[in-house]
Amino acid sequence: MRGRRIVLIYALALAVGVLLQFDRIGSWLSGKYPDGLPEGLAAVVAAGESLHAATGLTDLALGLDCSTSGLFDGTYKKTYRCGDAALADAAPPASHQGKGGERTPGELEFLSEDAGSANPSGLAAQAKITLPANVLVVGDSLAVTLAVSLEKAFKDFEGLTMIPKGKIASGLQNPQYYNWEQALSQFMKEYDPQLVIVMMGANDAKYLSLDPEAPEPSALEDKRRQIYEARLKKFLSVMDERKVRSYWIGLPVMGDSDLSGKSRALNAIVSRACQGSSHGRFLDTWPLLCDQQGNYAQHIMDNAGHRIRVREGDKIHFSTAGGDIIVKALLKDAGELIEFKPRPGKQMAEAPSAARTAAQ
Amino acid sequence: MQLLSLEFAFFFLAVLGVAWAVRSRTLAFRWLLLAASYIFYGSFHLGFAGLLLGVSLATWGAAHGVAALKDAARRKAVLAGYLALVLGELCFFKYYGLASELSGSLPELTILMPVGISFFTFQAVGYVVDVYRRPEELQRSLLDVLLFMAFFPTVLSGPILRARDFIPQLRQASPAWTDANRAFWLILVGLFKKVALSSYLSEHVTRQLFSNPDDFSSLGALVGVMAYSAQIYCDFSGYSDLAQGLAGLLGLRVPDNFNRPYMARNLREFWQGWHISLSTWLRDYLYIPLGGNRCSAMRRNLNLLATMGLGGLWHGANLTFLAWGALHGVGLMVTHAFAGRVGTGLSGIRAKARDAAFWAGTFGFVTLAWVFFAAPDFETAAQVLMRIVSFDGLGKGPGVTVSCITLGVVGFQALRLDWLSECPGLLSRLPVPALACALGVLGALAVRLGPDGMLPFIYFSF
Repeated sequence: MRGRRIVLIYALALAVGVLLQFDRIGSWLSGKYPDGLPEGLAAVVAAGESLHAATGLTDLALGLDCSTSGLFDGTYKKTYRCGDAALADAAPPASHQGKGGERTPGELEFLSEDAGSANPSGLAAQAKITLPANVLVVGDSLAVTLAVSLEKAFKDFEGLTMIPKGKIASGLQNPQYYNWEQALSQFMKEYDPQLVIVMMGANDAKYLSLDPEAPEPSALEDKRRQIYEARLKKFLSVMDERKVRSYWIGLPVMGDSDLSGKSRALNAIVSRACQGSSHGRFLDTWPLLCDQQGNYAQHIMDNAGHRIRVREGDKIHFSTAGGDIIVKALLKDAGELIEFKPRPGKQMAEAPSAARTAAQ
Repeated sequence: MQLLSLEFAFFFLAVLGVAWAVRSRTLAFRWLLLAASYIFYGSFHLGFAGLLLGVSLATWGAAHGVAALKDAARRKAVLAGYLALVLGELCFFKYYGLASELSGSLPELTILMPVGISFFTFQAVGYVVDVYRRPEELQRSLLDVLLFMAFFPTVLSGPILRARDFIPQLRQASPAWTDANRAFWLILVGLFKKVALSSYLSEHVTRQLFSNPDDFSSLGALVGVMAYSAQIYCDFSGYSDLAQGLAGLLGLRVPDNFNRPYMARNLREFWQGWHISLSTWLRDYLYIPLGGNRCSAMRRNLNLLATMGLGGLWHGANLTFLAWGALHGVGLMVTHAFAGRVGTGLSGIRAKARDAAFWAGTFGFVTLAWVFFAAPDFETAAQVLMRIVSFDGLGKGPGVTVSCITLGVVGFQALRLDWLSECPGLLSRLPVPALACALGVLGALAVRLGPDGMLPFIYFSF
């Protein structure tokens, strides 16, 4: 086959492939342009999406996803859209409006509301969760790792069923890739959890801008922060409206100093939002996985004096041992919400932070 | 820029277009591929590209040194110095963390392991050792050696190239690979294996099994480890298919890396079909220099054990990889010891039954060994094995789709189903627009069956 012919076939095949998959182009580009698409590109994407929808390809793609949804779950593919026709209709397109046009009407409404007036102490005053209970775990790859440790820990207790629904590389900043508000709504209907554990933000924190003048890392009042806060509030409201308790597990210290600062700022934003939520609670994990000086540590000493690796090589994710430490702290704190019933022969996990010291 | 990304698809379109425009001018063709390779590799981290350039320059220099020197002792000294340098670099990046963890006294360092370092280091070592053995194989052009080391379809995960096979193709005005239909087909098959099959098995069974083995019933765990056999085959052979197909579209031939490994009736056959470029590298540059099998049986066994053990450790800084390699070493020792002694002289149905038993034994052994490869530590590996032999039904059973995919991947090879090999011929009968549409639709379907978002290749970690 001649070279020109090879190039032509490859180019045409790529064009056909991209056209058929155009409903995914938006999510791909959103990851590249977190501030919104440049005007020209946004117009091209909007036109492409219109064409994709007009030719019936959008419905066909969704139909294919939904007809095979029995094979997949709502985090492997976005089959959460299949459980509710309204969610499927609410899928991405409208959001590619270029710079300055990213907010949806719902988000704007949230921005105009008060910061929230829920009484943080109200949570503790609520009745404890009765067993048996479903515990839904959602978030990004940190939640996926956390779920491994949670599942181990839950085996020591009666009546707790964990439903892991983490989605790698997801966050609240890119709903085109994975719309957590929609997914959570669907999971709430599907699994009727009594407690939701959330851990995500590593993919969101990197988009924050920090105020260099602030005494400690704090995110600037820029557009991304406002959008993030609006999405966060809507996300928490999904649980609040159903009166389901939620635990937001804060980000641990990160190996990269820039990301660490942004993670801390994100924790502050989330912590405030949880205080404003009627059923949300924030767990600070910052001191759990750092050294005695409060710095990032790859290894720490456990209670028995063993040096254990608590972080992965990328210095973002924690190891299973690191997850175990976070889960122990979570279980200790969650004692106010759940009447844990240890299985015969098992004891309630003790808090790890008191006795452990950072490895030298 | 990930290999399975839209960025790469457009990047490759640009490279392909320019490459064929300058194909007859070999110097321009080589410069283009070198620039494309460094842009691709540098997109992961500029420091990685710097390291690759440094290793490549050292390789070029060392090859010139061992080829030019007449004195045997000096040649050996240059070779030894070079090996110490590049293998030291490999060990530093791959094993420092483990050494620090085990010793407890080495300082903790922030080390980002360059992607593909094991592959390009072995490729470099193979070339310099070849020149040491046969100085006439020296490649004088720095450009050629730089491109040989950095060629973008193979730099991340192989196949491990041999300079004597690859570099002469770069200098030919006519392409060495002319079957573009097969190249397109390999790209499609690679996409399907990785995106649809490997990702599915990873997310629907193996990641869970090797995180929480106790959640699985005996049958669920058994099917889970078999699914890992299928997953790692689809993952790595899928990448190799992609690399071969991309190189083929550029008119370049890279070697086969897989040839139905799960059809094997003994471990020797398995290694003739699994990661062929690594197994032949280990044979040529480690096993044979150690004495190979032209020595006493005891020495041969030690050579096998050392070769496979080091081959295991090559995969990563974890003692479970060493155990995986050692298991294969022991398996090969047993295979050598009984080769030609068991089941000979049978014919007809008895011969078929013997072959079936040998196949089952080999597949069972390989699958058992994968448990140590996949598990993060020995404790988890033991838990997985304990679940399998506990013979109870408590926990997750085997999923229907997972079972079907696993049986399909293994059965396709074991039963020698060849009908897919006819597809490139069928593609050649289509006119250009129909062929392009067929490729576009099949490619889109493969991607559609995969997860939203992409999972990394297993072998990118090595």
